[in-house]
Amino acid sequence: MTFWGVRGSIPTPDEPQARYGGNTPCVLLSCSEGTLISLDGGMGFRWMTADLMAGKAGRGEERLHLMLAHCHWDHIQGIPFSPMMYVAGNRVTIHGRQSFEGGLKETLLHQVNPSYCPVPNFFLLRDVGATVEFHEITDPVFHVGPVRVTSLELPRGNRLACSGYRFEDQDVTVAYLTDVEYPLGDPGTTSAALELARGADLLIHDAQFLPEEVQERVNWGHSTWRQAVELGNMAGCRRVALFHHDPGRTDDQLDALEVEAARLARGPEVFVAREGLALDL
Amino acid sequence: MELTFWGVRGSFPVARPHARRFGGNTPCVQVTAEGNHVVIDAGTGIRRLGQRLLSQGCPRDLTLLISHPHWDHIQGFPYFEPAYEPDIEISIFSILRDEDKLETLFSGQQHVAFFPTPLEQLPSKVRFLELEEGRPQDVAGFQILTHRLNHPGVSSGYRLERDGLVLAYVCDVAPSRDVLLADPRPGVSEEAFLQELFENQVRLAEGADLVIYDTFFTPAEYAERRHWGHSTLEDGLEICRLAGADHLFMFHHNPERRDEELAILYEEARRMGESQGLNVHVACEGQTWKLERGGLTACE
Repeated sequence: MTFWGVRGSIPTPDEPQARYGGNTPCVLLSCSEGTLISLDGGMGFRWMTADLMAGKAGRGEERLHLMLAHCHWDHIQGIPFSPMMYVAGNRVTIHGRQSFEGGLKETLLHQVNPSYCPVPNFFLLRDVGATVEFHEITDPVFHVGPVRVTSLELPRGNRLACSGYRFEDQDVTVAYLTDVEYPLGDPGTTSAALELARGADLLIHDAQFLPEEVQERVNWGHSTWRQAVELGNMAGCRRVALFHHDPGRTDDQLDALEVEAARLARGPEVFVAREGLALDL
Repeated sequence: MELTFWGVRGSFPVARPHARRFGGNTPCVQVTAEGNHVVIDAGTGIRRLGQRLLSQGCPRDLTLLISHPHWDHIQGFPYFEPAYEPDIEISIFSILRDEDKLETLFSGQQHVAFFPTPLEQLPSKVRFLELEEGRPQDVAGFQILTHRLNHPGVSSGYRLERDGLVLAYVCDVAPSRDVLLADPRPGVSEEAFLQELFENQVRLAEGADLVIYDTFFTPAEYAERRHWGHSTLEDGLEICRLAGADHLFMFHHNPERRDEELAILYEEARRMGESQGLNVHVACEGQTWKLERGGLTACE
């Protein structure tokens, strides 16, 4: 597992965020049998797929699965700028749930409407770039190669729901829960979150806000680092990665909250997700 | 007149170590003169500009000039904090657009599928205004002129004039010698329109003290990507020579361009500029420059 983008909302190419990184969400899971799964297509996706170009993606032989939490800009903005999307022969399956009228495909087509982004349209044109397929998630359990995927809808206050994921590959489980806002701020209220995270070797969780900020951020659709740790405690996770950092959160603040979060952990090892960090699970 | 670069990178924001020195935020330039205030383009750089404005007692009336609605020139707007202040008015200008009105495109950017707060629900008063091509108008204390440029869709550059000082923003633009990328003008041949678009660059930069120019490509890169809609330093030098401009800022840096590479390109550019009596600079995020009758100086 490698973090390529850990920042929420908007890329922050700014000095106070340089150490933990300013790219928006993208996590690469390299699973058994060469299965590649990208969690979200934020700006980190641009650099992750540029890295893949040195291998099979550059030869048009890559097969990638992209799982979207939802279609907010910070989760899709890297897709049109990804070099592997312009290489014929690559195959990319985008998994997610409808958010725009007309479904996932229409939503992503809006992003490459020529008024905003005049790129060769690999979504529509057969002879341009990668072959892109869409999987509108209806059945919560599906398989990607050897990986068993569970995807459930998560609450975001009064906003549209988003998708949380659980990946089981052989004996390793990774849960990805971002852009989630729990009713009453209590992860215990949300059985979907508990089900996805139960016993995970790694829980990657939204930690956009500080506990003291959340009162003023109701219905913004995010969690606090404290809620992330609480879910990790309740669900018996081995590790919890605090993820989707607020664009204003500085490196020094993240250092400090890591210490505080670790103190609250009862079982899991808690750490702050940092761009470039790779874990062998 | 003072200008500050809040975003200088082209195409998409680059939060990677290779772009840390010159900056990775997408285009946003703030121009001020005796309390008058104009912002050109709303790339990600506008986020920190918004925070700075609010911390300093934000003017109640803000003026944004948008060159064109490609992502890197508008993507910062939903994160521009003054837009969330009820007593602030934001006037957003573009060139006259027959279709694809800027308001529709800004609204599309904030559709609930993509962003939590719709444009229509922003607490500030946001209005969209259009400028007729080639007709100077007084806006926010500046005389402002806009002309179309050769770039996919409808894109325009700006000329800002005040107290005899002239700043030109010529970005995003491709040269006119190869391909017409701009939406055609009905009844005008491709060749004639390309010539007009070329002359538009000179009209914007005519006698300018300072030209901010799209120097995205090296000549070798341009040869492979002629349809992308960007220029080279050499194109900028030619426009400045024809227009008799004094200072050229390299701008809209290629997202792949490494800081050390850009530093070398800048050194070469400076020498090339000297041989034609032009001062060449490289736009660096966070830098402020003061333009006066006597010349241009970098502020601390």
